[in-house]
Amino acid sequence: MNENPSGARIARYLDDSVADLEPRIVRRLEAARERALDRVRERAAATSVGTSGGAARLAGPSHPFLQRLALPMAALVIGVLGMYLWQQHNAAPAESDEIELLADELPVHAYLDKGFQQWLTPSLQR
Amino acid sequence: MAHPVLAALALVAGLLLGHPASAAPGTTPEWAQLSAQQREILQPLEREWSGMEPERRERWVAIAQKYPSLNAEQQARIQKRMRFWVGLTPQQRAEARELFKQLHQLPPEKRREVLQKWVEYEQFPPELKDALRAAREKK
Repeated sequence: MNENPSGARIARYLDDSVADLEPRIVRRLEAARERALDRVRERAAATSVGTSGGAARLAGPSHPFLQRLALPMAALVIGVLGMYLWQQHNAAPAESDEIELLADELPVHAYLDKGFQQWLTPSLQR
Repeated sequence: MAHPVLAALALVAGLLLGHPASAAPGTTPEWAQLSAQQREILQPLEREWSGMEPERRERWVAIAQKYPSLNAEQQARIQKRMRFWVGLTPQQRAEARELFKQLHQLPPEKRREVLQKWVEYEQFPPELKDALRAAREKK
């Protein structure tokens, strides 16, 4: 295959030119190449952690905004859940009281009659 | 699964939108939206329904749900008392609930005594009832 003949020519030219370079420059080029390869390896490792699970993705360096958002969101969810459960807990007795009160043997107006409340007081205090 | 933060947002939105206390006024069922059975049970409230706060409507819907489990005598009492109860102020309803709760905690023999006292009280002449009310008001 010879898809890019000019690229191959440039590569050959560069390879030939390396032989003419000073050893000091060759060492610097090798070190720069190693550093570049290290960076590529690090990036590949970070990406594979980032796609391996929800928790790891949050903790990954590629989502700093979401990482900052996670804690307040968790607090909000706990808060709202708490409020919801508290309201449920408090609403239920009033509702069951109401149906029992309406179905009770004593009529509703008896509970509001001040005269009856007065008549009842001695019995309740005994 | 979606992102955890998105899932949390969905949960919060679901709780906020799904909870009756957060429903905007007028989003609770209109009279026509009640089932035929609910309308039959809550018939005495038909006229008041449109002016009722969402929270009170929801309470009546809950009562209508439990209603079939009551005996015939209890059902008849509820039917008879519904409109009176709706006509009370929130303070009066709170006062009635408070005394009901107090009397309901009494032992059975005391509870029978309370009922007996009510029967006696009903027989009193109006002047005696007024005198008792006046004495109560002075307290």
